[in-house]
Amino acid sequence: MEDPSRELVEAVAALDESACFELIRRAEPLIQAALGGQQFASGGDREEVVQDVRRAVLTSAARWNPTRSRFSTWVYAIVRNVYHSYLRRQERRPTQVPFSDMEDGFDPPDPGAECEDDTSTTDLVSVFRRVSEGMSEADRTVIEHMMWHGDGIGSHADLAKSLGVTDAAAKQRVYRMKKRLTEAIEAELRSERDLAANKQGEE
Amino acid sequence: MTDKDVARGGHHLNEKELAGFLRFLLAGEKLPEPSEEVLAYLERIADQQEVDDETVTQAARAARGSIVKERLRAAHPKSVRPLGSHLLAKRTEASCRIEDVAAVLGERIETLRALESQTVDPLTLNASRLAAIAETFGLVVSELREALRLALSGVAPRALGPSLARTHEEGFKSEAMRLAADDLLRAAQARLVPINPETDERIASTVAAVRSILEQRGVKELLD
Repeated sequence: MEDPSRELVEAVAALDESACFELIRRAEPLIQAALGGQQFASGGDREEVVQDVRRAVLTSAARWNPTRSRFSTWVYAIVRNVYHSYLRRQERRPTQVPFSDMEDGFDPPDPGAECEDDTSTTDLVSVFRRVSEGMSEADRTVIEHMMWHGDGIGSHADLAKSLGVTDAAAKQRVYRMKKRLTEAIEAELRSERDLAANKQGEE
Repeated sequence: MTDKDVARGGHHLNEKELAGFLRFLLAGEKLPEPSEEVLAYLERIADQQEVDDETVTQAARAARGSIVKERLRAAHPKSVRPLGSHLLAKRTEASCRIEDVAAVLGERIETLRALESQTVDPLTLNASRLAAIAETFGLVVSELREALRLALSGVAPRALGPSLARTHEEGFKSEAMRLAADDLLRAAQARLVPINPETDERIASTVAAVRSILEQRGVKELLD
C-alpha cells in the first residue's frame, strides 16, 4: 500500500476537491477494514463514526508526518480514537441488550477488558490452530468469513449462501463463533500462563 | 486450522496477519493497540476492499462540506456587518472558497456572490434559505437580525463590491479588499438611512420564521 505524497496532503489542507477525493479513496478501505468487526448500536451510528473518521482524516492530514508513521498507522490511530470516543458516549447511554444476547443469556463483554498483549505472534497463532483443530467445515467457513469481512452490518450474504442458511442465521452464527472462539483462545492462553507460572514456582 | 483454511481466492493470511486478526478478536468491543501484526492484517484486508468511486465522491464531498461548516462557524469577525459583507467576512476568515460554501448551501455560486456583494435584497431569499445560511455560517438569530437591519438601512456599496470580488486567484486578498472598501464606505456615510416600518416588519417576520425553522431542526445553539 503506497503512502500519499506530501503534495497531496498539502492540497487536502487547502480543501482541494480532487485531493480530498484521493485521500479518502486511499483511507476508505483502511477505515472499513478496521471497523468491519466492530459492533454499533445501529447502522446510523456506524455511518456517523465513519463520517467522523473521514472528516478527521481530512482536517488532520496536514499534521501527518510520513517520516514518523505510515499512512495506515496514522489512519488506524484516527479510527481508534473516533471509535473509542463513540464507545465512551455509548457507555453513558442507557444500555440496550441486543436480542441475540438475550436469547443466549450472554452478558455483553466488558468494554474495559482487553487481552493481555504480551502473547507472542507464534504463541497466539498456535493457540488459535489448536482451538480450531476440531471444528467442523461449517465453523471454519464462519471463521474465514470473520477474517475477511469482520462481523459488520450487511456483510453476511456470501456466508449465508455458502452455508445455505438465511442472512439472519448467518449473522447469528458469526456472533456465536466470535464469542466461542474468543472464550476458547482466552481460556487456552490463561491455562498456558498458569502452567508457566506453576513451572516457574517449582523451579 | 491450517494455512489452507485461512485462504481466500488462492491467497493466505500469513502468520503475522493471522495474529493481527486474533488481536482484533481478543480486543473485544475495543480496537486493539496498533502493532505490526494489527497493521499487517488491516492492510491485507484493506487491499481486498472494493470501494467504488461514487461512494468515495459522496463521502469526500460530505466530509469537505462539514469541514467548511466547521470553519465558517468558528470564524468570528470583530463586528456585525450588513449581511452580505458579514458572510464575506466569515468566509474570508475561514479561508473557504465561494464554490465550496455554495455547494454546502445548495445555492448557485452567482446567488451567493450577489448576496455577498449586496446586489440582492437578502429578504428576497425565503426563510428556509436564510435558515440554511444561518446554520451553515453559525449565525445566531440576533446576529442575523442585526446583519439584515444593517443591510437594509444603509446605501449598499454596489459600485465597489462586484468589481473587486470576481476572483480568488490571489487567495483571499480580493475578498479582504472588498471588505475594507465596504467598511470604509459605511464609515464615510454620515448617517444611515433609517429603516422604514414596513421593512422593519419584514425583517421581524423573516427572522421569526428563520428562528422557527432552526428550532424545528434542533439547532439550539443559534437561538438566543
